[in-house]
Amino acid sequence: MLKFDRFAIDIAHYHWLGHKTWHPLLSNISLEINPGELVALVGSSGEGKSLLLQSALGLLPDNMRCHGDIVLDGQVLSAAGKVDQRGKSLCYVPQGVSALNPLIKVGPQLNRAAQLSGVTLEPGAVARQLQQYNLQPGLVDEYPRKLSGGMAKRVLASCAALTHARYILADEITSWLDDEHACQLLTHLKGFCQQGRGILWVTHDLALAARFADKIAVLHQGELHETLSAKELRESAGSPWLQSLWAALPEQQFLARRVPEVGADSYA
Amino acid sequence: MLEVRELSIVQDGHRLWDSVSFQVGLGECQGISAPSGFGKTTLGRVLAQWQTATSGSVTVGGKPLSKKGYCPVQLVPQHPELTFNPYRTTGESLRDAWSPDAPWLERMAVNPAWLTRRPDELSGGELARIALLRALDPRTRYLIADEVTAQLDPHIQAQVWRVLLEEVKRRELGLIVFSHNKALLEKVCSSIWMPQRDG
Repeated sequence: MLKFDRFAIDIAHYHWLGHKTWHPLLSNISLEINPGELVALVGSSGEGKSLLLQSALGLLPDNMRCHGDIVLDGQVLSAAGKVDQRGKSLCYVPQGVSALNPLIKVGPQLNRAAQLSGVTLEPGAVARQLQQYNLQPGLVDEYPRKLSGGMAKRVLASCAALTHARYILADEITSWLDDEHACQLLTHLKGFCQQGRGILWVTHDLALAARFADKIAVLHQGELHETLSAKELRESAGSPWLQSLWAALPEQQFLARRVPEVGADSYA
Repeated sequence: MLEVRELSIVQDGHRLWDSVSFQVGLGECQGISAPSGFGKTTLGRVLAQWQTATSGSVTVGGKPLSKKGYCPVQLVPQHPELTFNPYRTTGESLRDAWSPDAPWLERMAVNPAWLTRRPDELSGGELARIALLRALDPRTRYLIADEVTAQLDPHIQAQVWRVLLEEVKRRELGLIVFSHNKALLEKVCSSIWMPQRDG
């Protein structure tokens, strides 16, 4: 079980002479991801969802600090432990396609990622994995600049699929993908869950979350607002804020509905 | 009228688009939806003159686009984080195009404090909004939105689209929307084009 226990992230504001003050960004996050579970994490943009995933791997930038515990199978992860577990127990699928090294071809890049996480791949494994996501196997000899946004996302996802990590932290894995490919990818992720892996999936797509996730965690104003099951979300349970988020989806009322709390001031 | 005639794009030996023709008028909103890897982004780049087509022409009001000065066709790219200079604040990058006033920032849900930061200090959704604001320069006649709201939460997404559609009405902006989200296209676009690859 991967567990965030009263986890918090602070961000530094710098002043003259290197003096800094810490401001809380996320506080009091307690979240459990059981093996075999697909947990969706939703929230406004700029809320710190990506940072939460990155902090589990010790990837926070220098101007941030975290406190509280990340517990992996009963053991609290230390700073060095987080680095050790990268790729081995915890695997991260980043949001930006800039995460792919532009100077290394796709094949060697995926091989290297697998190698770093302690997996030896047979020749041809990368091409087969790419084929599974409807990508041409010839793509292994291409540079990342030739990939479209959706293709790059699938390459990043294969990276996670090739490792044996028990927990996958997937950041916006379905943006820039068409419905068909997004569903295919998520079905594949669900398959991983059945193999006993746990997945934490950051998303804005509530409709997909309601369809695929087992549990939905909602971040709002720096705290874990609520956790509910996908069934409850479909039956429009949850807080008013979540309901207004749901109603603002293009599939729902979208433009017809005005939400008073939206605006730059809510981020100040 | 933005007119695309017999446009073909061949890239790295792949024939992405084969003599496509379409037109988008001022004040129109054209949606384009195609599977991932189809070449939508490349088409957008060609329309905004970020790269050249293999053959065919793109004209605005009957005239080919000038290579000099501000291009009236602006592209908001899929990955806004790659279009900001990492060594300058986002505000400096924004003011290279134009200087929006405070009400503009508020309409687009941009916090003025973000403009004093560098791109790596902001989240993907925040940069997406600044990139969109930058492209809404008053000189822009046609805006190409390439999956711009994929990284935004539903509230902000709805707000951004409201602003874009207001601009389409108010100053007769021509809007070309690339998206995978069919529900979104149906709500915002006057017509949707779904190109199919033969064979």
